[in-house]
Amino acid sequence: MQPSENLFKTLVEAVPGGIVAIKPDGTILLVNQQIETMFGYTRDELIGAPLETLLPERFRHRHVGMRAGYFADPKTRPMGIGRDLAARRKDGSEFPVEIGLSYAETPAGPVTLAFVTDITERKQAEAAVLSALAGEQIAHSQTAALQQRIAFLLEISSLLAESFDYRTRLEQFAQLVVSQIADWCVIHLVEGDGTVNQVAVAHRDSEAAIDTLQTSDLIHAVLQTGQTEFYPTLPDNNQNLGCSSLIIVPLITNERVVGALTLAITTSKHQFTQDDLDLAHEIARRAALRIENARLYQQAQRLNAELEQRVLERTAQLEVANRELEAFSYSISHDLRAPLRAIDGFSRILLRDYGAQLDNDGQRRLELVRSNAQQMGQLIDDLLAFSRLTRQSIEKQAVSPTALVYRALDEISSEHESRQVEFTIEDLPVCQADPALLKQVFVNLLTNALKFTRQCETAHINVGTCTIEGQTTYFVKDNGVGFDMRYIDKLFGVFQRLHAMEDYEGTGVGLAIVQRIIHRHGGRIWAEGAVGEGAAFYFTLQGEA
Amino acid sequence: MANDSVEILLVEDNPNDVELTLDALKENKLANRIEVVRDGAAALEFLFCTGAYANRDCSSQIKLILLDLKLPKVNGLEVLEQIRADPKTRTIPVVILTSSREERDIVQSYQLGINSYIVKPVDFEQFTTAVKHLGFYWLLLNQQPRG
Repeated sequence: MQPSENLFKTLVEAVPGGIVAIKPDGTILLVNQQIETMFGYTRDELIGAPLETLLPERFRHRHVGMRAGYFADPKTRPMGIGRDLAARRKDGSEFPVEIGLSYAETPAGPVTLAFVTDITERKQAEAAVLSALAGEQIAHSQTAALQQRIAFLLEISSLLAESFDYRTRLEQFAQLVVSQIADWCVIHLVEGDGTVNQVAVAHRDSEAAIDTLQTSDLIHAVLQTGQTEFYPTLPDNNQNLGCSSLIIVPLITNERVVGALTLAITTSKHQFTQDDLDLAHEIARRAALRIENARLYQQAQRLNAELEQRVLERTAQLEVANRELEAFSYSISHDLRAPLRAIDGFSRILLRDYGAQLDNDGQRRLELVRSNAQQMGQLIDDLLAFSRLTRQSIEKQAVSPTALVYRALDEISSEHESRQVEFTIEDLPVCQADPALLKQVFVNLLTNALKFTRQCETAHINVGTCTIEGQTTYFVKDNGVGFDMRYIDKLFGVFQRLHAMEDYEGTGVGLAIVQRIIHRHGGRIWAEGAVGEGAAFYFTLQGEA
Repeated sequence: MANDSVEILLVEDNPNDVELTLDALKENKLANRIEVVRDGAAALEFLFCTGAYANRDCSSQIKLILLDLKLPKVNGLEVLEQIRADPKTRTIPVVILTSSREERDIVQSYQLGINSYIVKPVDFEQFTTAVKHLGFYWLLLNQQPRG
């Protein structure tokens, strides 16, 4: 037995776990070295002591019963799940253990062997895994919350973007806010005249009365200072404010406080968090932008309406002025010419019937009366033609300027058929213009060219086109008396003449008419010339084909 | 055609123009049978043989009406309208003899069925020539339907 007892002892001490042998009466028969280390007892302190010494006091009583039960029906139980127990060291501290049990009949009587493993580290690892899992769970739910917030913000944004009826939008906005984060949502706006209006209110319970909230002082403070008021916890549904958690955020655009967003919790146990405050700031920022946009839009609309009204008034005034001008022209046309006709007519009759009784000087002077009357008639006609141009509408169409030049020459044939005139007329590209008016331009320019080449033995008149600054430019050039460029400013003025009446007849309206026609086409006209070296008139027409 | 029947009706309120027109007609030997009325109402009375002209023989149709536009009482265009509305006068040639070059007047006159539109020139020479041409054309050349 000696060697086998030694062997047994050696084996027991070599086992990596702790071993406790228990006698049927529950006292410890033997323990190994690992048990001593694990529990902080010496072997001598344990042998003979009840097994429960190694358990926390709260389990000891129940354990006595369990132990007795085991001896009654002993089975070998492997170490495993469900057998995790708490053990107690000598110093009173506890640690988790795993227990395996086996039973043996020995010469010293039946013995139960308990194999004890300290699983503190395993438990810690498990706890770490569990806490990691829990962390993941939290992260997951936070992500979900964040997603929900983003969805909420998107919903808020799209709601605000819907139309320019922003007051209706703010009602819906308040309802949306209540469905997501608060029991109460109230929106106040500062109107243009400085008054504060509650424009939207919503509550989780539609029956709730807004009177329960006593926050108007705080709201006015926020509107004044532009600073957020945040009370996450108000004790017991704070009587003064009528809520248990409160956020009041200013609505600010362009550094101006335009309103306040009030969120309150009155019913649920929930309280506003920093996240809720951030969210409130975010939706307040969006609502403020929306309000600003709407107000700008309304302002723009109002300005538009005013502008339209002003345009209508001006148009009406212009129409009146135009009608007056028309009546004036009509009356000039009718009434001013009649006396001239009488002056001329009776002078002529006088000359015809009584000419013999007048000497040459008398006849010459009567002729002067006639030519002056005719000159005035011409002035009136030209002036009327000029003023008619302002009222007349321009009807642009594709026209061939070359054809118009030939028609113009036909019209004024009496002025050149008996003279030596060489016309050079280039092929002019088709353009967009009012044919009657463009023909008038050529009539006037060609009449001028013919008039001022009267002294030339052979007059050269050239009508052509060139490109100046990328624009098709038409010109009428002659080799006549030309003009002094110093007086270019007066060239296109009404009743402006650069030559003596005796030398060149005319009323000084022709070029003014030409200029007005060109301007009404959106083009421009200019001239070049020198005394004795001819003149050249250039013009462009906008909207050429 | 009876000798005493009126061939031309001149409707003109301006006495100077009346005198000048008559002179021009006379110069062209066209002034034999001309009736002058000084406003639109008188023109209508003459044409429809009412009022002052109730005793006129309405069966004798005149050959030409020289009509000014700007007239007292009833203006030229209204006179023209009534002339064209009545079958008895519808076919009488009407020449507008006016100071107005306004496009509006010209268009309206043609729309009411005038035969010519003459703007009285300031130059009496031109005026005489115009009267000569129109008298020659409407009284001598032009063939009218028999009344």
